[in-house]
Amino acid sequence: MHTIAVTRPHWQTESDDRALAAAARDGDRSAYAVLIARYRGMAFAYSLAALGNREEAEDAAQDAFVQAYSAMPRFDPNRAEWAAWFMRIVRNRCRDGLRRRKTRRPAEMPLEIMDEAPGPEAVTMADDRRRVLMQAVAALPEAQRVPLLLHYAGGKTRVEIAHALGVPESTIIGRLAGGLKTLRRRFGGEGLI
Amino acid sequence: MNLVCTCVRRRLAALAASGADIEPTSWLARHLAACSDCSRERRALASLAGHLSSARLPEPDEQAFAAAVWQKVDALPAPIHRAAWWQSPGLLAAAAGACALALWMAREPAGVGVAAPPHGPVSTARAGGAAGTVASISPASRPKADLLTTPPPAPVPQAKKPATSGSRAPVIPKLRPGLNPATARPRRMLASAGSATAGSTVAWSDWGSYYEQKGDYRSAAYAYGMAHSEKRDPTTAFAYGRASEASGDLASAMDRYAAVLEQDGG
Ligand SMILES: [Zn+2]
Repeated sequence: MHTIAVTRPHWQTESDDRALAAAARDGDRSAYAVLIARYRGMAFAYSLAALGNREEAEDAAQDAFVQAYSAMPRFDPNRAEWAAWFMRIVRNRCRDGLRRRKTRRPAEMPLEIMDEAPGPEAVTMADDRRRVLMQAVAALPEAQRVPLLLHYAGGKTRVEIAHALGVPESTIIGRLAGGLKTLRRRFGGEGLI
Repeated sequence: MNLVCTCVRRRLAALAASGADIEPTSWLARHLAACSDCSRERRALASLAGHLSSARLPEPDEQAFAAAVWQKVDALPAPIHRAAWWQSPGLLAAAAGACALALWMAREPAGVGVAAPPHGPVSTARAGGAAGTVASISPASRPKADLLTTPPPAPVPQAKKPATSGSRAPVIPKLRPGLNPATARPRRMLASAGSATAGSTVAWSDWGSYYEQKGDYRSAAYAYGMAHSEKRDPTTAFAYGRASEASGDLASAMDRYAAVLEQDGG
């Protein structure tokens, strides 16, 4: 039938991370700079998918790195994976961002993911239809929206997303399927797709 | 749509999501070859995935991003490169929530006035009825401080300890005469006393609460630290942080507040 790769994502090389995290904990800024470079993409992509706003997402991802740096003395590289630990901080930071937004700014922020990639689909799909599609994506529940955006628009593998979200890969596949079905239902009758 | 088609539709979304191919000889492939509706559905899902892939999440500028992170790190209070918890809205929110929870948990049952200090074992208290109950924590019964990642500050200046009956072991003051200990003690004490280390008749968190009420925040932080080493939950972590902060140990407080967030989510 089919096989699903269970390889460690390329952005997460545990042994390197452990050494880097240990060095960073001991005050080695260059080691932490490597961790920033390595996890910047995932932290920002997750934040953007969760928050839907570029500026907020950059802030959240940066804050997560700052918070992780300040908490490094408490991080034990021998007991925890840095990536999992760090991404939990990112998720918590985004959760806080959403919580604050509920009280301060009830209006839903549109997703800013319209940087177009060249390809046949981009050519054939009119701008207005694409806008409608992205609005529908933005309206998906977070559990479906985040994996969907990270995978299709962010180019992350299912394994990478599973690690970033701290859930099994099968859960990610289920959420992706759920998101696709929701969108298909939404657009099936309108002939958009 | 018949039952087979319904099953196929369910399967198609999962296949599209997993990126798996359909084995040519499978019943699914045979059905798709024969059923135009399901075949159209499969194409629609593929098209949808293609449209989604045509968008790209933007990426932050590498240099600017790293520079912003370091700028924020350097703006943290020296010499410990840590954020003040009240500068982080997330931590502030967590702190407020934990504070509300702590207040709720520490509330007195109706009809009881001043909060009762920690006192004797639950069984003694229940059996003792209205009689005052005296209890102590012997030094040997205290959990090891090295259970904590960050050791709490040294405990309890003698002058600020509650009245002691011996040379070392602090003794909790008697309850007011006529007070029923079973109803006077906070509910959480009844629940947590059983988890206290053998020989220790009062939960560490209750010691913390007691010292905090007395204004002895260093001792309170120590006690909450012990409680936190026994049970790592956000409420205890927050109480530990609150007492640490009140005692002037901001570094430890910030660690504790960060722990609240970590334990709260994820
Ligand atoms: Zn069919």
